[in-house]
Amino acid sequence: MKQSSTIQERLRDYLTGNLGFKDVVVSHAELIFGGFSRETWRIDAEWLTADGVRTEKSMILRLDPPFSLLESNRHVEYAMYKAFWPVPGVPVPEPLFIEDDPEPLGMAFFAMSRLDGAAWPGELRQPMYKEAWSKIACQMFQILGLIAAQDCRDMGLADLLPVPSVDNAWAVELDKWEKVINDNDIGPLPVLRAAIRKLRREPPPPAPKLSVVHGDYRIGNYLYIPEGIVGVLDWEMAHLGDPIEDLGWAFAKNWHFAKAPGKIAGKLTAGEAIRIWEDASGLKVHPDAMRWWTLFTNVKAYALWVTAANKAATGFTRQLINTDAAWQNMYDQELWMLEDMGGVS
Amino acid sequence: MRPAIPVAIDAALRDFKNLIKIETDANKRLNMIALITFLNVLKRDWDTIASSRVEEIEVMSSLLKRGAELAPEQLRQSLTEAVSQAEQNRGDLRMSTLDTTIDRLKIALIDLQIWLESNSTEEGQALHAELYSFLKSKASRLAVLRKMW
Repeated sequence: MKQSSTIQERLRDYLTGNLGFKDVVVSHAELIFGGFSRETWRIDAEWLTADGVRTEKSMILRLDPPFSLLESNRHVEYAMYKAFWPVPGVPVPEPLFIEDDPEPLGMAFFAMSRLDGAAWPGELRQPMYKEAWSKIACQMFQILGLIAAQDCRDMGLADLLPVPSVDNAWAVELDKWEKVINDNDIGPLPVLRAAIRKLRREPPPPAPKLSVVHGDYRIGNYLYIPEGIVGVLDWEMAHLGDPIEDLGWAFAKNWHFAKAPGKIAGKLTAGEAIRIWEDASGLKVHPDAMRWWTLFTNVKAYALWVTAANKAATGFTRQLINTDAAWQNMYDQELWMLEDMGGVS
Repeated sequence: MRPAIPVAIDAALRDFKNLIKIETDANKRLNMIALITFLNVLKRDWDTIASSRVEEIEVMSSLLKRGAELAPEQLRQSLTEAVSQAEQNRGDLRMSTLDTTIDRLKIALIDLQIWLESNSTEEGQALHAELYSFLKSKASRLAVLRKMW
């Protein structure tokens, strides 16, 4: 991990040498918690652009990790910020620059503007959110509906990402996550394997359209203030596919509040969230699709815990977050998976 | 007598819970929460750490024996062999041995599940339901169910 003084100097050199800015001052660098997948820095900097304009930016640097639970793709995440930055109603941070060369900062990275707001869902319990919480929960599904409503081809994303068909989007995702589980073998897993077989035996109806799927859309992955959501973050698992996938993930029991069991984002019933999403997207949620993607969500989440368990067990990176991800979540997920399988079939 | 392990864990948990209240660094807080989860699970499971595994082996062996009575010849052989291997290790209460035995039985259990999924006989479905009931009871026993928020 780098020291803040080192990052300040190296970023100043990068902005000067690589981007051609002049009179660069990096006044603040602070390592912040930005999830488990990337090292995240808050940076304050100012410079003169090539055409002489004085620019001040408070930004977030997301550096590639030596290891992550996710096979994250910096270019995909950056492309999503670029694609959605101009879209009204889908707030994202402004993408600033991306660098593949690990030399300047020690790891490849990208930068985006910093937004003020809270991400930690527990903040919603503060008195200042008493009135706003329900509005934020509704907005979460309006935004998700708007993401689904966009034309991924018009956004240029079909040139960057694999394009499944509406008929096989489910199979592409299931294959992908089953491979992650197989590649991170931690021994025989009867519940998980039964869920995967059930998903293959009983495929969902075709996707209502081919959409951008955020891939990790849930409370905790957007910034909010009392006036509402100001930025959707963490697009590193984004892909093209069935938009119902995001609904399944957003509904997962993993993200429920202790004091609001069964409520989505702490406030909504599944029916309410679906209605908001349908209004915003113009699409319909088939109950069979919802059931399929709900069970799939358990498999995908389990794949993350299996990855963490494998990395810890094999000593690849024996960090507390890896042992915790497995110890905290695996049997919870099995329990929910069994519930969502609905018994023997 | 030294304090029992759960007593020592209790003391550690109390200290960690006090430390976490004053820790402001998000990464350190998350690591402390992770450690607390681990200690809580250890405390919860300590007393039954061997007996629960022995019981698990017995239940799985019983399910596999019943499956062997219903299954076609090839599957019957592999289920019987898995049970027989487990019986050979009976009495070895090292965690590593118990876990290895459980993993071997799980492999057989998955084979049995796959066969039961296409078996529509009454006995087959009843066994399938019991197998799921066992898996659910195990998951319930080991789940942490601590919400992050």
